[in-house]
Amino acid sequence: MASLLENNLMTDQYDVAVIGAGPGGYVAGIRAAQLGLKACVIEKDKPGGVCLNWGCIPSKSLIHQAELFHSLREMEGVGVTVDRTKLNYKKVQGKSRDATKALSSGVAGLLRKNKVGLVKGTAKIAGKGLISLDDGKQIKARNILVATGSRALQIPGFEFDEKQVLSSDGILAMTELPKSLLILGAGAIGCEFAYVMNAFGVEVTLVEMAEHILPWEDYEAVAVLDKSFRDVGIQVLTGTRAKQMQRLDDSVQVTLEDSSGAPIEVTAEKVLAVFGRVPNTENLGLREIGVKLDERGYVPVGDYCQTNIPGIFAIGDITPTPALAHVASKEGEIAIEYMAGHTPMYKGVEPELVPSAIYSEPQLAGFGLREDQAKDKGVKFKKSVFPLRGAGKSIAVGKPEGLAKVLTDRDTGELLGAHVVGHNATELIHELLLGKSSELLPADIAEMIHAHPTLSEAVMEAMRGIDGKPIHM
Amino acid sequence: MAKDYVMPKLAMAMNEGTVAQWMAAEGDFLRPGDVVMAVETEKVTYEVEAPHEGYLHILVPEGETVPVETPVGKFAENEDELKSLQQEVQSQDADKPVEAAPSAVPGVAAPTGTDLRTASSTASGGRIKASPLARKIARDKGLDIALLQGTGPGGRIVKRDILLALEQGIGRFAAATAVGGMREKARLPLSGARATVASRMMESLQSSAQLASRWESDITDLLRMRTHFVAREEQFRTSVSMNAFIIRAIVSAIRQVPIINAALQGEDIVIYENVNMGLAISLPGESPWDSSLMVPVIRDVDSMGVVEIDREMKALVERARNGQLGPDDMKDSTITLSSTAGLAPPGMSTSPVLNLPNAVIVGPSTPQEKPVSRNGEIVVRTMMPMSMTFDHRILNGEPAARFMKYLHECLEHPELMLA
Repeated sequence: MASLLENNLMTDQYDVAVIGAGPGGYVAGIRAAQLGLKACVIEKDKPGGVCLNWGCIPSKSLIHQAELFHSLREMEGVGVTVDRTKLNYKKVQGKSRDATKALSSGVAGLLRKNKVGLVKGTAKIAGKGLISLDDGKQIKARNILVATGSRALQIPGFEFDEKQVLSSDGILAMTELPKSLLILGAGAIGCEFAYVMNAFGVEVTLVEMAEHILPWEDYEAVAVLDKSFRDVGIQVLTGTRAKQMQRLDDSVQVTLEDSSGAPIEVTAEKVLAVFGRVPNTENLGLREIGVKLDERGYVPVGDYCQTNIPGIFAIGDITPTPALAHVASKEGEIAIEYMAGHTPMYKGVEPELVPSAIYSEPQLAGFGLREDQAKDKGVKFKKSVFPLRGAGKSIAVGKPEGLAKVLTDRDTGELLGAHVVGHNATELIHELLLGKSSELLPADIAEMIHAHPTLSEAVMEAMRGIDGKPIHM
Repeated sequence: MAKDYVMPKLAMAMNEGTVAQWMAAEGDFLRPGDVVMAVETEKVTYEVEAPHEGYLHILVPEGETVPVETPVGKFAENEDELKSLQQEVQSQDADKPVEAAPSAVPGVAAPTGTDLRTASSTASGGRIKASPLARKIARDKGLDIALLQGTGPGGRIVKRDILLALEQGIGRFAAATAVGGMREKARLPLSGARATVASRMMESLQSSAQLASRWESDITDLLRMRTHFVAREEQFRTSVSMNAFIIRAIVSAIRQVPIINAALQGEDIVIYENVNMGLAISLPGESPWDSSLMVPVIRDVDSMGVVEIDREMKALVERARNGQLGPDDMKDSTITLSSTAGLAPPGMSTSPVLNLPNAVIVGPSTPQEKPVSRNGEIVVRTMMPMSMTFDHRILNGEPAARFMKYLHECLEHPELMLA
């Protein structure tokens, strides 16, 4: 080992070079170092990727501040008056930037601590085990792990100018609140910004082409969020597509079309276009060395995130698995463990074990089978839905809306899917996910003593509902 | 230096034993006399005590059967030694160290290192590690998880292992499948107690000259006599059963025909002085479809009255039901009683298979009331079907008939037992 390492140092060769320091790449780099591999991570921007710099983290900062701002109404209910007209959104946005700065330097620190080289530059795979950087330097590595992530999908006619028509990056960089905002696409990002902007007093219209917002989530859970959105004054238009857009001097006019084909004209100060993500697989030299890409630009991978070219691995948003930070991180670990000669627990991320999380208020989280999927597939299942208001804590803290829903196999009791909507749903989901990944049966969770009063009691009660009767219903 | 702890030879006929349960845990400090494990042999489970002092290191998991004298554990002198014993096992489990990894073939590294998924599914304490869901599916499908290798965290058996086993047909009990119009309900392993009975019965029938005879005895008077004993249940601390009287009658008949109480030993026929009565007992089987058979022994019944015989017999049955019979309880029978009374339909007679090396087995069955002729009149009497199988190598028909006749007379005229 020692001689091998020395040899590596002399030839400046790595066991693995990771392209991209997002949640996939930096985790892979650290895991590689932990397993005794000599690793470097190449990043053209700041460590942490979109997630940390232009995604999950800054948006969570905005959401937190939106919650605080929104909760001032509660304070007014007990006689505290706050002058909300003094809200300085520039400071709100500034705080979100502070959070990303702190965490980005934290990632750099972690890489340093684990002796993972952080190489600044734009990488291109020049050949087998060879990467060239934009400054002309070369890096040799036995294995290359591509973790270059994704960017906002741009649709012709709705091009981002980041002034009037914003991508998710643009809205995170925005320092002044618009009067009105039209959000095209009610996925996780669209819903989160609908909540944030509405909470700060922006007039929000949320448009979704599918039948309901968050089309990939369970409808019964989504319905709670949908109602909540409408209750706080967000205009929700589902089954509606954007046909064309016209930029005016101080507003944008968008022509929508509802499911019956009737046109709807909406004018808003700004448009947030969140149609989806595009993998960053161009200009990396992938095609040149023979790595197969699919027609949408994703890299198909086999077991342990291997591409069709030996020694080249791909993880995260550039592969067809869900574009989620936690998926990228797990894939990074799997690929690295395999390179290090271990046999990871899983050959890839199991889709049914991937949790989704939407951070509005209420929050929504879920995994596994949805009820409509179960019906379509003819799965024989049992269903239990427990309203959050049945857990006393939700009443005490004034967050009674929501539910915990579980679907289990009718015969085996296997947990097929779970969907939680409500306060702290993104934390509550993990007890259920542990139940799924550890193959617990409903009774295991139903019989476990849960502290009172907690929202987790709703999870216990939902599980009781599968084989018996919940107490508080 | 750690001492080996081997599967003890607890009976002459014992060739292998199953570690039924570890009564002490891995790493426990034990002193001589402390119970270490429960060992299961063909018919008996008994608790074994520690032969040495030391820290227990377990080598053989629960449920595993090993030949006698095979090390099943070790006794470490001190904790350091224990630790090194435990590490020895770990390093055998874990393939190659992490350091080997960078030397993998350039390009794709081959997975030569630690398998993060698998370890033994059986924890050192012998408990099988399986997820609740895996256990549930296995139970529903009749699969024995003890035979499976787990691929979950820490070697836990998870759903995919069960599904794979079902697909590959691994596991003891096959799932119900239709083959040529026959649908299997269950597949029982011919092992353990079942295998013992199978081989004993085959051996008995193939290696001896068995002859079965049947008759009926009028037990009306015996039943009447028994009522006096039953009425004194409190005094005798038992409600004396018919079996006790039958055993007493057999003893009386043996006194008249001693060669009944005999065995063939090599070239010799050995006739025994004392009578040790083997008692065939049926117990619940390992599966719901089977029963298990044991033959514990009531010693020296020739020196006992019916009350004592009854008490001894009931204590033995109780211990058999609780799985508490030891090897000593099962040996040295000189004759066997195999009663189907109460089980079989009234009037049915049996022809029991000899419990070798006994020369004779007696098989009473369920009595019934029948019209019989007494002093030229038809009367209703309680008739008990009787049978006896004897080994013609040891005795001829004449002593056998004499025995049956005297036994018959004792049952019909119980006062003869006073002789």
